[in-house]
Amino acid sequence: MKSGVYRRMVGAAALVAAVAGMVLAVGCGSEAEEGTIRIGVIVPLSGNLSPLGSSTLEGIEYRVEQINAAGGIDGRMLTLKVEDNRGDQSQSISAFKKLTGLGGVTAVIGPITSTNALAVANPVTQAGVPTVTPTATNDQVAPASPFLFRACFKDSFQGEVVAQYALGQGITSAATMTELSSDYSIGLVRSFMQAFRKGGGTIAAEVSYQEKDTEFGPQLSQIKESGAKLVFVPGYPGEVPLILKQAKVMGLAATFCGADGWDHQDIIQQSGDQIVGAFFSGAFSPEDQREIVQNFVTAMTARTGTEPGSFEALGADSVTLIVEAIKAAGSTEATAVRDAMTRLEKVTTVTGPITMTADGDARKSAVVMGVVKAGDGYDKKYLATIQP
Amino acid sequence: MSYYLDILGNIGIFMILAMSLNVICGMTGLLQLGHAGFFALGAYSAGLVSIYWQLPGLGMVNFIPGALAAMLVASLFAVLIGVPCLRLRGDYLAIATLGFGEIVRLSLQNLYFPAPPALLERGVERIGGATGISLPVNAQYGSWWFIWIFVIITYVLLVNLKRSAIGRAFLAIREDEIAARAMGVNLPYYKSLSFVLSAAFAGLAGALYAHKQLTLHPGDFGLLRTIEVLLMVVLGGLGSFSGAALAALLLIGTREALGQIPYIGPNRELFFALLLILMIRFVPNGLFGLKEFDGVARQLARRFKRAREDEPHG
Amino acid sequence: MDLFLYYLVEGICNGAVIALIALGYTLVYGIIKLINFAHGEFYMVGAYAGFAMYAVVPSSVPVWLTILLLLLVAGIAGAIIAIITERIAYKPIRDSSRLVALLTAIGVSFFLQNLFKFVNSGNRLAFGGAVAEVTQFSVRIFGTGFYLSKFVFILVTVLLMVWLWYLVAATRFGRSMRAVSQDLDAARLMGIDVDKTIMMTFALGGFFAGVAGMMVGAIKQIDPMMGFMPGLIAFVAAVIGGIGSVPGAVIGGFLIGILQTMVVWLGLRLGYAEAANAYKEVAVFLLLIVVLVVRPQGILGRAERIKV
Repeated sequence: MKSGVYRRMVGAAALVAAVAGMVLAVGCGSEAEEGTIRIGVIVPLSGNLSPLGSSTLEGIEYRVEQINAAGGIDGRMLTLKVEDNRGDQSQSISAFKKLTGLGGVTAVIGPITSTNALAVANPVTQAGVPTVTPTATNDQVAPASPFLFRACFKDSFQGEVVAQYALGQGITSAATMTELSSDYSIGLVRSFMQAFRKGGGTIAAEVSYQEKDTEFGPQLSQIKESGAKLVFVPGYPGEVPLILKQAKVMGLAATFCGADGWDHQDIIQQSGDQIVGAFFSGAFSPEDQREIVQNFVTAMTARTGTEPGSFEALGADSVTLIVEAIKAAGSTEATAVRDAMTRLEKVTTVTGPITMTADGDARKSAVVMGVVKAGDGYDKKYLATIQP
Repeated sequence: MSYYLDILGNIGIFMILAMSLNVICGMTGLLQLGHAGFFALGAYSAGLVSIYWQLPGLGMVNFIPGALAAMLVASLFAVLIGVPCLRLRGDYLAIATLGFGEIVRLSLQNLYFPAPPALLERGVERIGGATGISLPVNAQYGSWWFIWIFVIITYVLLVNLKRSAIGRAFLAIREDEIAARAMGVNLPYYKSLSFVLSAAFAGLAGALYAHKQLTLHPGDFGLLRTIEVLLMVVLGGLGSFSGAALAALLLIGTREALGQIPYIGPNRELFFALLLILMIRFVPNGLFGLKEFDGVARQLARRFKRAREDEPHG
Repeated sequence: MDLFLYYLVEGICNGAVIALIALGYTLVYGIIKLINFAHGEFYMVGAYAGFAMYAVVPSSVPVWLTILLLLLVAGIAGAIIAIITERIAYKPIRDSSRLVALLTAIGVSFFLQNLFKFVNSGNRLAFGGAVAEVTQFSVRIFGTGFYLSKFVFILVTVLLMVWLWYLVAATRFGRSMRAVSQDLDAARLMGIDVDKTIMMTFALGGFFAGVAGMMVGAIKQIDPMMGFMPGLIAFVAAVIGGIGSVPGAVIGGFLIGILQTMVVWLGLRLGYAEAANAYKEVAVFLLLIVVLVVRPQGILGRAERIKV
């Protein structure tokens, strides 16, 4: 018995020593690469949102390789430090603290969802590290911290884009489906309803669901009873395909539409026939004939095997914004980079020219994309461009 | 460095949580699987207090009403759930408390609160629900030393409780309920007391968590959190507060360290799960058994002394 | 439009799946008093195995045969993972305290979830092609659409239950199972191979869970966390029905399936659709607490007598 306690204490001491040793070894190792500019990345690589996270990361990595191949920033190469936040608020906060506290990063890209980006707003202010979220479109995100920027447009614009397009098609009665676990979805539904009502449309039904729900029968039957001709579902690939498939089962005749969260192959290919005729707002169109877009589409298709969507494009554009800001600031000092970032004007990116506002919002245009049947699968089709 | 101090703060919060669960699971021997529920109630109470009611210029003093509210709300729910459930035995109590924990999480996920004036101006009508609540920035009291003051207070209070008459009653219930009743221990009273004390300290941990993290969402308070804490209690040795605290340090430290090793880092949860199974398999009685630091130190000292005496002379 | 019948049928279909999973909990608890928290993961493994098998089956095989094959493969995969889990994780600690066993079970569950996250990088998978066309074929009844394949849930569950009843009541294995559940040591003394019986019980539970996982995976999606909530709900069903009782698990399963859809239906009727949908799981756990307080041993469970 006594020797048992002794053995256990020795075991515990050994474990502590091993842990400390590992941390020190790794900590020292990471200081080795002198002269490079480190950029932190926070994306979900596991969990419900992982398809969006890995697509964004592909875009980021592609752009960094491109910049390094062209000689980096004045000869200094970019290196990425990637953290998985699993799409979770607490994980986003600890990932951010880890990147800024341990990783010594100059800037951070991410998190990609509005809810996670809002969660890191306070730590961003405290750490004072310029942070660019590629795709967090909720209105509150960029104003939440002086160091927080975004490469995408915001929801009050995006919701209006979808509403305007729908009204232009002669649709006057719509239903909305909100994902209650997402600030993105909540904010978008609000701005869509405002714009839709203002344009003379009526909202016939407002329903909601939670992340990871798998049964949407009650919501869809409410929508069906309301007789809405259009259903706005600004969701993510985890739930949207299930919603569309179940809508087909229920025999819902309405057209579905979404926002930039739909610009991902997982939604376009996995939702079944109900998605034909649906439309959504996105950051860019692969049909855009500008050279930068065509090069991007060719390179990304070769890289990942699928045509890139908004997530890949905005990941790449976030890198571009940071690089341009560092170049303009002439240093990697945080406040200088932040100040340079707010003065960026008409930066050439895959998703079109971006001008930063003082709040950290990107002024840029949006496109409306439709979905058509193409052989065995489905394909995106460019419909319209809408300026802010 | 700032990152390690931040982790030190997390460890402190988990130490309090583990010590609080040790009161009911370790000392009284009642398996409780709803601990994250009390943690959540504490965090949300403290969070809401500081969202709606904060006295400017008082700084950290503002922590006190929130923390009191947290402990009070958690204890209140402990009474509410404890009175009907504590008659249940063994696995059934575990299942009932598990149900309670899930009810708290699912309810918070669907519960909304009116937005405070500052947010109303920005067009937000309600807070809560699945996206959670955010505390004002100036309500961050997350320094590691601030948390560790409470760790020490909790440790001293609970170790003294263990060595008091109440603590001995708890331990008697754990060893044999029927024998304890025969010896005159008022079972319903002491069981409820243990349950409430455990919940109150979990509420305190919740308040500290709220003021450190600032963003609270129901997903943080799932069954997995309870199980994490239960593991600390078991690894530390059922009934040992020193053990629970040390196990919290070890488990969180190991997980952090795993996260920093290349290749293992992205899949650390996999290795962590494996480690847990092995720990339970090979250290089922925990590091400390029922002892505290002083007991273990005495035992080690005795052992060294004997080892020296056993050495052949010359 | 009154959707009462629709929700009732939906509840029965969902209940069938819950009952199928709950059987595994109850069988294992009945025999070694272990709450097998990893049981939901057997369900998940079954779904993945079915999906992997589908990639291998040539498209020339008729669809009905493919589906039958996938169900069988999923069941066998569930059984295999259950046997492996029992042998590696549970057997060495069979004589330890209940708490150690419970924590090991939770550790295994956690491990399997993360293993599949690692293998599949956490992406969701969905069936496509001919199988999807069949499983997602819908009919219009009760004024709304309904997956025809959901009726298969009931069919499969009933068939498996009849088989289980036969196994328990009329075979040698069933007799040794009943003996072990009454008194493990006495059964061993009577010459029953206790280890083998326990292993077979796990395999049986794993088989049911695997089949259930495949059925749900075929019409919804497959992901590493898919077993967690259904596992928890099925566990509650087993407890409500009376853990350790086979008919109890079935009754509990159907009861909870119907309770959930009835809460949703009531919500729709009364105009609180959102709230009802959100609180349907809360209703399950509330029922659990009420049942435990009123009748701790569950509907069909036998009360434990406390011996001094």
